[in-house]
Amino acid sequence: MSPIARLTLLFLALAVGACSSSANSMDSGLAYYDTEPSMEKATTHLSMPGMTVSEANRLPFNLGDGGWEDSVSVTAEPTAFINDFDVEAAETPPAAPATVERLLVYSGRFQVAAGDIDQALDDTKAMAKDLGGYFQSLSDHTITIRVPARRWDEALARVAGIGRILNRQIDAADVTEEVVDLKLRLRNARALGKRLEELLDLAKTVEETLKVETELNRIRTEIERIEGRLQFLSDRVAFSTLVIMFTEAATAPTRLQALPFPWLRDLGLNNLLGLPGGVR
Amino acid sequence: MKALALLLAVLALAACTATPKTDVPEGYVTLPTRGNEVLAVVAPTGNRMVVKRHTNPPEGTLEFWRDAIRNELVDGRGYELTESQGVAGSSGAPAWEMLCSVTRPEGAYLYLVTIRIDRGEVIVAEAGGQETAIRPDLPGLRKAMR
Repeated sequence: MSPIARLTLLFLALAVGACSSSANSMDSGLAYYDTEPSMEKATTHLSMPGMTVSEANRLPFNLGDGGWEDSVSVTAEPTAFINDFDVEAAETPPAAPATVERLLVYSGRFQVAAGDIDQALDDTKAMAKDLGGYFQSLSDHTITIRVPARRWDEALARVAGIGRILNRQIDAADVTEEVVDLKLRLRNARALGKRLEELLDLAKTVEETLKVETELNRIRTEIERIEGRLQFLSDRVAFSTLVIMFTEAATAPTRLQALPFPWLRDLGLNNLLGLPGGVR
Repeated sequence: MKALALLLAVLALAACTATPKTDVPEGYVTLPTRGNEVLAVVAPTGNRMVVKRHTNPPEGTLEFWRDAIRNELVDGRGYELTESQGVAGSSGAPAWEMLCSVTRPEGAYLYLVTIRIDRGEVIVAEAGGQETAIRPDLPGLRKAMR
């Protein structure tokens, strides 16, 4: 082989080596690239909204009269949610996990273009009331309402009637595991509290009494904290949160004829940051 | 003589397929690239920057892509264009830079996009993040994206 031919082969090998090296460095695996948020998201939102009484009764624990079906009474009697939990049932491994109903907290954020924002805000308040929910807060052109979870789908459909939806983000957070864990911790804390009360009766010295009372106060605080969290989750499960940000319809974007370059549609924050809400 | 011609062809090929050079902004780490991505980086705050290359038709000018991207973002998506300016690219070739603000229900975001033409390809660099997180990074991102 002539020297020039050898030199050519050497350059070729170097060029190929450089290209493959570059590609390898770019493809080096970083496991956290597509890491999901820590909050477990449900893949479907069909199990909770529109759930019938019989479906609710199949839940792994009994939420009582203040549970799923009558969300208003959940707020009125939060302890029903706490006290009626069947710990024994929760400790029994589910026979068929695929059939276990989940406790889901639904939330949605919409950006809606409306011709008359004041009218749209009034319509949204009326919609919340009509669905059995309530208006929660208003800041500038952003309104937050709570609607019963069982009427969630209906609420989403009715938003489209208020204005033109520019962007939406729907989430369903699964709190089943947290609720089960809290229930078990509550049971243990109550049992410990009861035992400490018995010990308090047996205390003979001031020092013994003080020690037991200190521990008893700690346990009571813990019980209150768990009950508060359960009450909060009960409310979140029963009522879904809907945030709607209104913009003037006149300033709402109007899409031009799409150009035949698909990558243009891939531009933007949603794709770049992995944000929900379609092309935006 | 044939060997020399072959050598020149190989060198020319290597030059044509070379990856456009883009620096990693300070404080960012690289991510695995996908598809036609040249570089993908992320900051601890969640800000991201991605550089992609796309085939450019022979007639495709910087002005064409500037207008196409502006129309897509502003007219198509409702982004608010806060800055739009011609800048000098790292290779000395002209580039165009646009900064948009985007209001989402969860807060305000900034989106920076830089376009340049490089050897028959459109090089598009995008960066975005929540406004409070990305604004301090803008100088470094602008520099890296040009």
